[in-house]
Amino acid sequence: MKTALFSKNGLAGLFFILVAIVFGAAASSLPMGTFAHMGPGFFPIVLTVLLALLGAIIIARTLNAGAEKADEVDEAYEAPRRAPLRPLILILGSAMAFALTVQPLGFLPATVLAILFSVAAHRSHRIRSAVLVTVVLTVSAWAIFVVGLGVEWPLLGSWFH
Amino acid sequence: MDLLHGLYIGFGTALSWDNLAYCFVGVLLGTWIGVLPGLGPIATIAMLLPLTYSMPAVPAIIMLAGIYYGAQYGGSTTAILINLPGEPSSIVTSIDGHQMARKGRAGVALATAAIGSFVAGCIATLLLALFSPPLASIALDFGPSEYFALMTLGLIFSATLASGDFVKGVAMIVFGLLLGLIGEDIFGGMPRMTFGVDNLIDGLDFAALAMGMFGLGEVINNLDSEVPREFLAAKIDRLMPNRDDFRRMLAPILRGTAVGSLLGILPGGGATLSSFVSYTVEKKWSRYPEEFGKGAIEAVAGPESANNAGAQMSFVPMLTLGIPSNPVTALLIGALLIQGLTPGPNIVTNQPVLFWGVIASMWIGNLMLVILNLPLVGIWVRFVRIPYYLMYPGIVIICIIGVYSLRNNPFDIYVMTVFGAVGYLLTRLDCEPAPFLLGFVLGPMLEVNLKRAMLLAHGNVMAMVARPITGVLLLVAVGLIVAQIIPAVGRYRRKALAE
Repeated sequence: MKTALFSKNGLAGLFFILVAIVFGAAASSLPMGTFAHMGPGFFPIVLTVLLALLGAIIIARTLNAGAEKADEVDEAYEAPRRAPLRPLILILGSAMAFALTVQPLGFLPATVLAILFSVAAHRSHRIRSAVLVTVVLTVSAWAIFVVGLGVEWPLLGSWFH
Repeated sequence: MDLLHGLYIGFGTALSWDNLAYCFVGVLLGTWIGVLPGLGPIATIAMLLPLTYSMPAVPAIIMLAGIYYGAQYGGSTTAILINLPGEPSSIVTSIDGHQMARKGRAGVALATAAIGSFVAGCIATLLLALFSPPLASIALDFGPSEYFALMTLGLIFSATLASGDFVKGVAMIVFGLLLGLIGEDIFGGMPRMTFGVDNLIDGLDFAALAMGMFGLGEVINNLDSEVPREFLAAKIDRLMPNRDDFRRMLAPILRGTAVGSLLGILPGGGATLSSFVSYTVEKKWSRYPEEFGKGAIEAVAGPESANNAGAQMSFVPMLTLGIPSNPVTALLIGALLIQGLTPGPNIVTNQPVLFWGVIASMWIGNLMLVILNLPLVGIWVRFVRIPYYLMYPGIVIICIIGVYSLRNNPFDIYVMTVFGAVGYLLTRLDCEPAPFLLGFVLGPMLEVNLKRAMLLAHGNVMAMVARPITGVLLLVAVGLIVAQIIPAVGRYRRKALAE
């Protein structure tokens, strides 16, 4: 049963149930109203119940799948393939780096930082290609957004003033 | 408004220098990203949405639409030359198209794809012009319960057509619906499911979500599993197909157009599904089925026509009913909402310049594409040669800065990051993100219509379902659900989608 639960479908089902619980809790304080005069909570709660149900169905099917003939079983009943976490962390880190630094440090440092993070996500980058990409992209970003579109972002942020 | 008058307005609008320029930019950009694997129309349109804030509606939609059908042209170029389809809708083209290239018939394959796409585009544009106004006027009689039923049917349909599991597809839709409801309730002004976060009072920003799931998510996926590219670019000699080729491609082009036009209108339909179905149709219909897989010209002509027709016809529900049938049209509806326009049957009568202008520009765009693609093939191929590790940082940074430019609020970047992670997680678990996006866009609309329908029916569900159109639509939806549950249908569907 443990393998079934950690299969792709099992994890998906668990995810949906979790979402349903979290959002259901958040929506539970809202007035439901009646069928004729639906309150703000009506539709959300209905959806969370439905989502939880679907999650349960997905999990229930994985528990059944083990009993099926081997050749008929979908790939989704196996565990997810292992994949490197590095690209995920670095790309998302790139976005977070920008978000956290764009106001204190300014547009230019934030852009440079974000590019450095994302460049780090690929093995083929060496110092030269990393610098090249950073320079080209930063200048392009400046040209497109600041010069071209005229956004009024401080190039250097509050820390520098 | 009759057809000729409409087309007169339409071409008058589309042929202005400004709109021509935007159309050109759109189709050029579309072809380019169509050629590049790893970047698709969804991510590109999402990235350009912030830009459309400062543009008037007509050129904005013209440009964004151009990106979508332009990408169908671009994807076939690399599919044929390097066996690397730039778009999912070109996967089928690469099967026989690349084989033709290996036999020295690359030019003919490319020309076939271009001609097929152009013919399909012209016919589809005509169908769009012919059928949208009548459809819209029928839809004007729709009440909230009809809309609710139609949207529900559309969502169920798109779960059916999604290549994964039906139940997971529906779960993704419900997940999307739920998240679409976050924010202030339209009626009461109460914040819903905002978890006390002020930034969520206006709800999750659609562009941030789309860029997270489809922009960043795609990049992360591509970095995870890089496929080495077969740089065996075949030589292009003769471009013109001979008389025999023309004879053989005619019927597949027409059949492909028909397939694409029908499937494009359906929710969940669009370019990709149309191309796959067309391949199957051509194989069954062909006098030379043994050639399929080895370079049959029908296998290029049919699917390429189908994907272009499918792409354009997917605008019908969007323009006539205001209901998106796929993520691209969902984004375009988002663009219309940014412009302060409410998509719906009223668009045809209240915004004739927009409606007919977009239709006319589609025809013009197809013409530009046919002229652009063949001479510029060499340039496109050179772009593909740029290694992915040099390109993706650009994609990432455009996503980040683009999202920030929406409201100058770092919170939107947090949203994008979270959904990048969620999108990645769900893709690894074989859950499709497209139904989620559809659900997200339709959530608020679905609720509003259900509420109003219930109000009108005084809470009597049976009264609502008894209305003829509503009843029929909901019955079909239930029928589809039941059909999915029957194991026999499930197995047939899996087999059909696996082919």
